[in-house]
Amino acid sequence: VAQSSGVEECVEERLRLFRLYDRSVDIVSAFEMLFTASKTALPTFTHHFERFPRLVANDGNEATPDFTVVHDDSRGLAAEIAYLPLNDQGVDALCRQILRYDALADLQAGDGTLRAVSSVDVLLLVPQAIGPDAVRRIIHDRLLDPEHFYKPSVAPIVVQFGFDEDRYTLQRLLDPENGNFRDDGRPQDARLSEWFKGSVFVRPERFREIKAQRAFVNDPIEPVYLATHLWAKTFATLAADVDGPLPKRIEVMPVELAARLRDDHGFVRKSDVDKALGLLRLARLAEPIPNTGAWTVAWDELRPRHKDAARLIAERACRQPSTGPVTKLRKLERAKTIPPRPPTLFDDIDNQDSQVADVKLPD
Amino acid sequence: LSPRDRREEHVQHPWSSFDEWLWNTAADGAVASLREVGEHLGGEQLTSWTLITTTDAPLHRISEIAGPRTTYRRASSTELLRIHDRDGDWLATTWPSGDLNAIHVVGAVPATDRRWDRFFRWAGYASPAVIQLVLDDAEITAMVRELEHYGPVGVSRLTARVRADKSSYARGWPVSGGQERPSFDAALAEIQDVASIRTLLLHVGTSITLHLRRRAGATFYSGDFALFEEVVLRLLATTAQRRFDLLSNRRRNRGARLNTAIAVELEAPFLDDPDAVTDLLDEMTRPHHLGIAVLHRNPYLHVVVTDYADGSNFDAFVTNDDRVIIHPGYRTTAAALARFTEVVSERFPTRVVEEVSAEDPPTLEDLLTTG
Repeated sequence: VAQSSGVEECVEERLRLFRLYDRSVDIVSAFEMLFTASKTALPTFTHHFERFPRLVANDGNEATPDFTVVHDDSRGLAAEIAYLPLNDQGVDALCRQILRYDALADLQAGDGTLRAVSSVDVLLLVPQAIGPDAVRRIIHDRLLDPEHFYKPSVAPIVVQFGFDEDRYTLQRLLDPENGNFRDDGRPQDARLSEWFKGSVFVRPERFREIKAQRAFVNDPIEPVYLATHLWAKTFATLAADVDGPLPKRIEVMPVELAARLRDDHGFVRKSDVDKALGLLRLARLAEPIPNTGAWTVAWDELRPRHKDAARLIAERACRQPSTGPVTKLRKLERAKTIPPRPPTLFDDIDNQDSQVADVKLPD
Repeated sequence: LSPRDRREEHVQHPWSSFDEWLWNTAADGAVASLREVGEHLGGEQLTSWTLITTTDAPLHRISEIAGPRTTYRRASSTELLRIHDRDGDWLATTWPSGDLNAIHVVGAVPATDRRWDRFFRWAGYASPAVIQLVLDDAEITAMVRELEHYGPVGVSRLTARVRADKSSYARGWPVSGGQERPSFDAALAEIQDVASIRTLLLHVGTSITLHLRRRAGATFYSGDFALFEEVVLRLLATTAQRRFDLLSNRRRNRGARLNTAIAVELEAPFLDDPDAVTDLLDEMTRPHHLGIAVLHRNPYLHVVVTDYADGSNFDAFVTNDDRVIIHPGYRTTAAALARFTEVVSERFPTRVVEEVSAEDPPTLEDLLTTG
């Protein structure tokens, strides 16, 4: 019983992280829509929206905000989605991270180029439930504390997000110490500081296509999220070129798979792919080919068929069954390589049938 | 008899002389034309279902699935399948429609006979060789409007599904006592906003009596068979082909956003409660080899649909309670989209399946008010 409840907890935790990651995909997709596709003046003043920024901060560390924006007036914005840690060390780490964003001098400007920016607004996106806490712990307890190391050039802009009535609600916290968008000089309707005087609402249908095409965000991808994506989309597409019945053998190199995902959807790290394949290995859906770096995927319908594939993958990865499509594929392929015994004078039809049933499959 | 026994009870129908005649005409590799078939009916009804197909031998594929329960013959472009059903042998035949991806499956067994159900169960396993089609409201109306060119169209019977509780509704209009049959519009007005048409028994002037079915089917009862073939079956074929064309060449290209998506627009906001969304998810996995991965659920729905039969995959969204929107993936065949739209429309009566803009960007006013 203890073991099965452990599996259950494991499944629920993996699916919780899956949902959290998907929400980040939604939030970033919503902002990508605002900056690049909305029928507002904002896209006109957006030089480049970068969904997968990779930058080097002035302390030499890598800076990977959840997205960055370069405006036509050479001002920049770097955003981070944060689920505020409970402990103070965690909040300090977050402050250290966004302090690097504040000091960025160049941002990605598309086609592999960087563009110098005169300033970077740091946009901190937090769930509605912790909005006021985020302002208190980051701005009041740290930025305004003369003893604390967190001293950005200006306060970060804390915006909370929530979902109700079929739409995302984005609200800038009204605390007087909260930061604001530096967008003076732009027309009124292109100024986020004006928009965020009240709530900004985004219905999910506004970013459907962006979400379908871009699929990921800049953070490391939750293994169940990527494994599900691979199973339901990438491997399905690859399987179409493989003849024969299910399960289908698909051989992949993680580095090539990551490159394919990048071409198809944006930035994906090889380490993300490694983790997703590792998870599929626990689920007996894929296995490494020894000494090659390549993997065999045994692509098959997941059962029970009516259930959500994400849940099935999470359940299998947590349960770690001893058999699965990988073992099924192995057995089928070995059975195929055993040549049928030539018929003898003593064989009759019934005997031949029983011989088929008696074939011992090697493990 | 227990309900189960009653269900099991069945009447053994004899192999009909009509089926025998048609089967024999194909014995030597030649076969009667569909027109000759119609003229040979001798008072029997003839049911036709228009299917989407991606092969020139869909019945052969079904015969492979059904195995020894069927005997297959082909004569020219017509396929014949003698089905050895426990309710009696019967004959299903396919006739090319002139449109590449639309084919008529024809049989003298009534449309409500359970033998058709068993046939379509096999057909379900034959995807993408055979895909059933469910007409939307726009297509049914367009067909009736076309029939009106050949005489006044009267309705003598209508069956429908009541939206509120999904119960069946049937209404007949007797012609005794000098009463006239209602027109299509008048019959439709009786169920407007309450129920969705499933079948219509239509009379076109004095020339033809037929049943029109939402599952892209029609039954010829009496009158001018040439009109049935040339108008009714032709309309069904062009409708099926149009649907196939709508769903074709939708594949996403590397790294590019799509300009268009496919919308299954429902007759009413059927997806306004969580149970209906659960129903929708169940329906999505009902067909053989269709699977789902739920990326987001409650309050909006985002699922990846995977067709394990051909590797097709696409994103389906429910962001409004009266439509399902499909954004194709890097491999998305028309067959897979046809199967998916068919299961949605079968469960949730559909106003129209159409192309819509993939993006619906908001204005500033939208963003500050409704989103």
